[in-house]
Amino acid sequence: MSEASTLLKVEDLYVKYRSYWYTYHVLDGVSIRIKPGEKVGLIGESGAGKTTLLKSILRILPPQGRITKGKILYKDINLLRCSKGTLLEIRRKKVGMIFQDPLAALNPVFTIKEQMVDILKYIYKGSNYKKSDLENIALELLREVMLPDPERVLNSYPFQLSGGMRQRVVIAMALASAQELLLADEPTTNLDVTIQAQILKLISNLVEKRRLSMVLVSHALGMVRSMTKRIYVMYGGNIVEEAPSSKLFNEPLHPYTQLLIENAPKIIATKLGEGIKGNPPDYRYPPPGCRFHPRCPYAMDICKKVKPLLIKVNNDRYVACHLYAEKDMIKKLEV
Amino acid sequence: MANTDIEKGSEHPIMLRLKNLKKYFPTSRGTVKAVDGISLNVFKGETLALVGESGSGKTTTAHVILGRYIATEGSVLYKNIEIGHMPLIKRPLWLRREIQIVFQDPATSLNPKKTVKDIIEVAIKIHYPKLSKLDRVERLLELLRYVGLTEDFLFKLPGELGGGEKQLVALARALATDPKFLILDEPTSALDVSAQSKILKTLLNIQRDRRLSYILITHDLAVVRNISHRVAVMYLGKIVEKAPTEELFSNPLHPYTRMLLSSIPTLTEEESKLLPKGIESTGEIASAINPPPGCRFHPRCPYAMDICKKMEPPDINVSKGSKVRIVKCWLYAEESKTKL
Repeated sequence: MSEASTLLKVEDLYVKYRSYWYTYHVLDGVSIRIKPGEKVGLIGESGAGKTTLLKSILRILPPQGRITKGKILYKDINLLRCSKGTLLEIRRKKVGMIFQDPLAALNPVFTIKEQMVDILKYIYKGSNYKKSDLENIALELLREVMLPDPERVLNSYPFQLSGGMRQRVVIAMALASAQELLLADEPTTNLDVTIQAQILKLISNLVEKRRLSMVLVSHALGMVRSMTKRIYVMYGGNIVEEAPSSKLFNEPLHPYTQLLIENAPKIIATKLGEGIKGNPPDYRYPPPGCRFHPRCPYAMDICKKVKPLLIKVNNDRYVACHLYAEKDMIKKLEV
Repeated sequence: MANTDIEKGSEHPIMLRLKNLKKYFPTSRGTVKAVDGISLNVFKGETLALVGESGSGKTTTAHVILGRYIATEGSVLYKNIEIGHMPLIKRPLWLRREIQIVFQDPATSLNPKKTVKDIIEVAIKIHYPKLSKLDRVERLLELLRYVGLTEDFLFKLPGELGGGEKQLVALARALATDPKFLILDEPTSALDVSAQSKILKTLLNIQRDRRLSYILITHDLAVVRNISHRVAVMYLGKIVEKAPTEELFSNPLHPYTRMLLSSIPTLTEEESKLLPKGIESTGEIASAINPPPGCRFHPRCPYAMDICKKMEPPDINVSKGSKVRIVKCWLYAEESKTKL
């Protein structure tokens, strides 16, 4: 793929968190790429590093988090090397992020109007918009997310709104700065199924209308399937599989993806899975080799020593697992 | 998988019967009608799922059964004894022993400073004071093994356990008193996929083993499909549909049930084919202080008629054979409508 057709490219990214006693080796060589207008999903269980990856892209990791290696290219700008001004410009005008918990993302002691105008002031810094102009923009954004009675919402405090309405406000705030890319971090956790369906529809309509690219992060597998074209599966700070959404669920390749899909409760009453034995890796002392090997039913000796790289197994499918590398090698030998 | 061989009959006595149960909370802004006249039966060895959006009164119902709230009106009969107006502290010990609960989030329902041993032992100590220390520990180990944990967990703190393991400890604690009736309040919604199926499987095994009755409160319909025998769908304090699980999923009747089902995100094409078409989620659940007149669902209902806005629909029996099915919707009341 040529550089020009890539909007965002993360290459071999390593992120560590440090506490007083320990270092947590979270992201372990993550690479993803997003083309303009593409909708990409990122799935994995809690603690797989999904949010860390999103936050690294915007460079908003908490102070304990450090990017130790890698590259993040937004078009041709390396976000890890660029000037503060360029970075702020991208945050203000290009990339918007929907944060996980709408209650935590909104300040309880300010009205929605105060909070939105605050954000807009920052986004339109340098232009000579008056406060009333900014209020109109805020109103317009609230209309865009289909909030009934936006005037009332604008003057409300977050606690006066329902969960679905709060999430719509948070989406409106993300839209204010998302001209090119929308990062959605679990946009529907804590919402009821019916409201979840409404919010998802809203997001996909907005993305379509504004011609945005999107990264959708979630552990709700079905939701990601319906919203995206391509999916990355994360486990323990690694990308373990990449596949088109249409194929991933019918034919998962990585043992982790297979177990994950097998164990997800489905409405077709099939047998319940056994669960995946063991726990997610301890980031202080991540397992050597493949980070999934202690829980993997197919683990071989090599898995304990060598970290598998993401390899191409088909036209559009990639997997990081020694099971597939070996088959490749055998094929090569036969040829 | 849930087997639907449990139907009415003498070998499945009724464990719990709710009759026109109401629970109101007076507030400064008006009375919150959290549960407003619901009736249902739970049989021995059966799982009844209570589903519905947040704010529909599922958890309030559970807490009335547990005795944490006192019913405003109506009755809760447990083994034919009226317990709805009996607060928890006035309940006899045997009753408290028999009805237990597993909470949603094990990270907050387990004391982070106590070891697994302490957490479970307290329940045994209170309910079986005559047991010697040795017997107590023996019972404790038995419980741990029963839910699929090992003795290695005895002296661990909840913080050292994974989400699924924590929920298993919470389950072991609930089982410590040898309950007959277990309330499961969103038992898997705080867990990751890999831990969910383990918990569900354990729950099924325990039920088969001990013939427990469960009330499963959840909004995850896939979980309902997998472990419950019957489903009651709640909306704003009312039960709008009651049906055996399979029937409900293959042929949902109430428009709200259809809306719920059509909102489930699916994993495969096969699954999406099963979901009802032509109904889309709109609007939000109204306030329980001032519920809409008539049918409470009518502002969100695509099939709303004039009568829905004026009169509350009655419980309409649409049972076929032995499978009892009740739906609270004017759409199914052709005959009764003409009578009015």
